Amino acid sequence: MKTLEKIFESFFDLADGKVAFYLKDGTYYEGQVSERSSDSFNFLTGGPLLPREPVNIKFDSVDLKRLSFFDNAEKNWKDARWEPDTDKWEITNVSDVETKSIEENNPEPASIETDIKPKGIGIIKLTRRLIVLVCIIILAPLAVESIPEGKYYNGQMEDLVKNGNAQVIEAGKKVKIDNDTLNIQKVIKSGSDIYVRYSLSEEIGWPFPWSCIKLNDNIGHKIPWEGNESSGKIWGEEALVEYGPIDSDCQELTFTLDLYDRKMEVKVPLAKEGNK
Amino acid sequence: MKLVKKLTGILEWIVAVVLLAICIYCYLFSYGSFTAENAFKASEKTSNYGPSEVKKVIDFENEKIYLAKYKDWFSANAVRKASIKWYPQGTGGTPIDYNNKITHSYDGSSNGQNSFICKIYGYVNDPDITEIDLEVSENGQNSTLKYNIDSNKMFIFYWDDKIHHYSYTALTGLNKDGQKVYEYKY
Repeated sequence: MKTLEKIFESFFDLADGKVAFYLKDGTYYEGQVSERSSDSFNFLTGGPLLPREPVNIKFDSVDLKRLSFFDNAEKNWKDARWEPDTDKWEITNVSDVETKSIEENNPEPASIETDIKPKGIGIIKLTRRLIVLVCIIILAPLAVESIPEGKYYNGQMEDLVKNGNAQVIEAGKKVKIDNDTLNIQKVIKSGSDIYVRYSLSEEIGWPFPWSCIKLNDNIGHKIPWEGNESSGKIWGEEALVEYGPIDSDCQELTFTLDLYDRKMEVKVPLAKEGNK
Repeated sequence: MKLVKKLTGILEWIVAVVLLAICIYCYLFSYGSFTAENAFKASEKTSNYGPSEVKKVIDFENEKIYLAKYKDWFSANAVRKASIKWYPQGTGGTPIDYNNKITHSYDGSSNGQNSFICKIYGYVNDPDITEIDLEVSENGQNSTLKYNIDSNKMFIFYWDDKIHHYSYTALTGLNKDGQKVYEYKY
């Protein structure tokens, strides 16, 4: 019967590259032998997380039934089993070739399992965060667009009102036309100009044509359209329309809609000049 | 700690699903219809017109034209299928001129690919008129398109301008004896 020294000498004759083995207590090692002595060898383990200092392994602590080595000639892992009866190493090809080849590429078998787990959670986490991100990117323009406009629609109008150059009539007239709701919120009179601040909530489809609404004074004159500013919202539209000039005697405005058989008439009285 | 992590996970999923639902609603379900008829109805409703009475439906591949009448207006509006949904191509009606024997209208629209559907349609206000003829010429050759008037009192001529490059010259109304009782020269 060979001595342990002889046994290992013959093993190292076979394995001059990477080796893997279990200790009798079940600890697994994989790496390279750096130095040998009569009763032990120094071993460098593979993998970045493991200590780079050589580990001293006593011959008698190694489980002689569970050794493997990488055969440089055949480019594969082989299992080595010491058979005391024949006094020889029994060499077999590793049955689970795939596992070994993974280990070959990634000399860190212990970490494979723990690597997969965080990655699995990571994908789910990544997916839902990606969904949230993409949705936010898609919805952001809609959200920004749908921020309500100011009371007087723009800063210019607000300044006019603040400086006392405009008279605000809180009209608050709501009219329903089919499924659209037109809300003539304010009429602002500045000199001979009339501004109409309105909002419209409507079904998605064709936009409501404000241009079909005509504005007349109570003396029987049509008040010409001058221009408008509007912004689309998810629920419809907000706008400021300018008309003018109006007759100084005008005391009431009449909005009329004539669109196919849809008709509407809204009257907004203008306060007398003295009440300014 | 684990419970907090799990709860944040669930919360993140809820946020993701809600946002996704809003996206799908805003971009897939808000506009367009899954059937041509619904697209036509929605189109009229949102344009504050109709609901009109459909007299005739002309079927093309991925396009339908509805010849319809609503009170004192008539229309031949199309809806078109784009990928999975139907979308309106036009809306509203032309008012019927009861002082005239025939009120008619023309329009054409491209389906964006390789056809351009032209249509001449109208309403007949004279019970004597039983046939409408449209004189057309193509490459110097004259021909007549015919349409028999039934109780709907409406007619429509349509062609694909990419196939027949018609120039139309006259629209005539004939009585049952084949006599011309109305003529409109383009």
